[in-house]
Amino acid sequence: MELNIKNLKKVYGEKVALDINELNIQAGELVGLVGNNGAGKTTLLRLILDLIKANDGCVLSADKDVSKSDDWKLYTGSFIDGHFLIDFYTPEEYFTFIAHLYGISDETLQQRLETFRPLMHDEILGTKKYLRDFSEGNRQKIGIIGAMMIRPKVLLLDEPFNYLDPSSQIVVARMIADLNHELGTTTLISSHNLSFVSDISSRILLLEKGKLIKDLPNNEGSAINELNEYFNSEV
Amino acid sequence: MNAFKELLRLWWTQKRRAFHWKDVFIAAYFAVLFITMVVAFYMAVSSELADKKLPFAIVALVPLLAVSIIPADMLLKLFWRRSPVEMDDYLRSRPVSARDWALLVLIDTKLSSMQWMLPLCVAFVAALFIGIGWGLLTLLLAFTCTLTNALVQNCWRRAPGNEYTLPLAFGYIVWLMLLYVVAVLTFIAVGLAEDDPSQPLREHAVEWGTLFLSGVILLLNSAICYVLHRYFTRMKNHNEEEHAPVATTARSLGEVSLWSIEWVQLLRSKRLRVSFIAMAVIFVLNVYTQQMTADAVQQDIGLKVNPMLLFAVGFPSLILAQWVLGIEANFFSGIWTKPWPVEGILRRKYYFFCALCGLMVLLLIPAVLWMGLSPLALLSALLFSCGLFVLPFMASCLFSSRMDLFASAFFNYQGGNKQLNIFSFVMFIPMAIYFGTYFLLPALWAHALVAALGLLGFSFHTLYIRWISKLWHKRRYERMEQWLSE
Repeated sequence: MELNIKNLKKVYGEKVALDINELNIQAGELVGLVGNNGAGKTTLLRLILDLIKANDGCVLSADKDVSKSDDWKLYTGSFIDGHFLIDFYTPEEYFTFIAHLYGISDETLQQRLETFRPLMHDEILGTKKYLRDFSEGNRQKIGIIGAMMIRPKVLLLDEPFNYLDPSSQIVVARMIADLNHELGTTTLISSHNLSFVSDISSRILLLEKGKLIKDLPNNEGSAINELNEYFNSEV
Repeated sequence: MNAFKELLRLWWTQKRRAFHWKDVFIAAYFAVLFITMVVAFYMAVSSELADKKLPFAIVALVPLLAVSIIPADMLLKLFWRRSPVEMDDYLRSRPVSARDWALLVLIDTKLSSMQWMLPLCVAFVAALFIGIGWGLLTLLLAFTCTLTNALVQNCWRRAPGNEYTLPLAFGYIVWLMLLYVVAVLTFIAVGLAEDDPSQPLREHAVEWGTLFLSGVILLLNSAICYVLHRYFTRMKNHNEEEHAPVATTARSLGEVSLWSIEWVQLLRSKRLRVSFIAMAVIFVLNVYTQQMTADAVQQDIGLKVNPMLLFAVGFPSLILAQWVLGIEANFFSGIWTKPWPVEGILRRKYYFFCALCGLMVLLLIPAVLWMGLSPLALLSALLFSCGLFVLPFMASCLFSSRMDLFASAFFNYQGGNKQLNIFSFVMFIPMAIYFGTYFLLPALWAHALVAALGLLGFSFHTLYIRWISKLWHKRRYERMEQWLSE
């Protein structure tokens, strides 16, 4: 599924949070989104998910405006923050609930959850805890699993490596790459972790103060040097 | 001293930024309401009182008025007051002394509107019925009582263990007993003495006696407040491990589905659960007690139905219906990005509220079997509640704020807002229709009309919910951005 962004603009008061003239993400691309704090990464993801209103422009998912059609919800998996989690559910209930929404049978759900065991470290399933009682790291994992377990055609994750221990970060990065390779999922992940993003992405977008200032192909990590140079020059 | 000045500056900044004019208007509204009621009562009874000689000197009521607010004030504080008693981490890691912090808490406590609310009310009553000077004295006395309550609560919340709370509880009980003894003694000894012909009093003896005993209460309260403040200051900070949040063990509530999320959120959200149960218990009990005197009531006021019936059947659901999507606001980003239509959520929620009305009906069946409650009245109330009482409130999804799922229940108005408060007046329309029907028509006709109106409302529920859903979609960005920022 292709994502197309045309003249997308979001303004908060007098501050331009995002201003992108054109951006096309081809079907099957794994794109990393990097930038300093306040660059507009989360704003871009929220606009793609129609969670906030654009002041101008539009986002097309499979050629349909996301603000006018709900079709994108059937094939898009996403996780931005805790507002995606149902705090009074246990992880099992939460995953089952998502499975019901997407018409995934219990058996299929169990099979898919098995593939996420390396990420869960026996700390998530079978704990009889509500989501609100988990640590931030485990909540992050639950959110990521909730987004990926539906085997989406489009995957949007905002800083998925936050709060995760180093081994979990490696597992998540590998899972994202595997999903992209196996299913051809169009993936957009934002992160401050340049090395992970550089390892798995085929393309890296650099945002700064709402503007897309670099669009770098990343063949075998070729973009990392340019990114390091850019961020070092910012210091 | 510098640290204390900085604390004060921080406190003042926080108060300024949390201040809203609309809160002042709401407080003024309730104050005007209270004043109107009291003045109306005064005007109604004052002419009668002027003709009759009271069996006691009314001045002696002053201490009793002041201490009478203590239980209500403590209840209000227990349910409502959440002022901080511990330093936040950003202060704890700075050179802020326990003494400075305790002083700030004392100032915050003294200036809090909750300390002044009830004293001002009783002072107004005293000023109106006794005199302005006595009203001021009542204000002073009552304020020291509410302040003592607040300081006791501060100490209780800060206490790290039973070795601190037990002496506090004991001291509080002793203080209460002393206070009531002095207040009642004032009333009896001073107030009634004037009327005893065998004990002629000197001029103004009643006033001086009341002043003296009020002074005793003031001194007592001041001493207690001083002791409590020192006690608070000397208490060590909480051990973090003792007060770390404890994870609740989740119990299964059946299979997960788009339906089950409705009762799961009701049962697992303390706020909703307690509100619902409290309303259900209060109104169901009221129906039973009213049913004992049903015939007399109906003869007196011409109402051919138990006046609590509609409330018992419909109000518990209505309490939940005023916060439609208030719970979902906590995870609305998750909802919006999934194939989970808002119209479907609203419809399922409405059916759930109807099922709760049905549950209330089941609780009232014993009244039908053994207390003569009309089954037709019960059925009509059910249909009316579903069709006309609860249904309009589905529109609260257009206004409701995000509700903290796990906050305390009583007097917690999070989830509501001023738009919702105004919208709540909508419920008076179906109430007026219901009671008007039972007042004007014979019982059987009233049952039939009320049931028919309910069925009519229910028959339109799909259209109504679809319309609400469309309105919501038009406002969705505003709603979602508001919920994200709350």
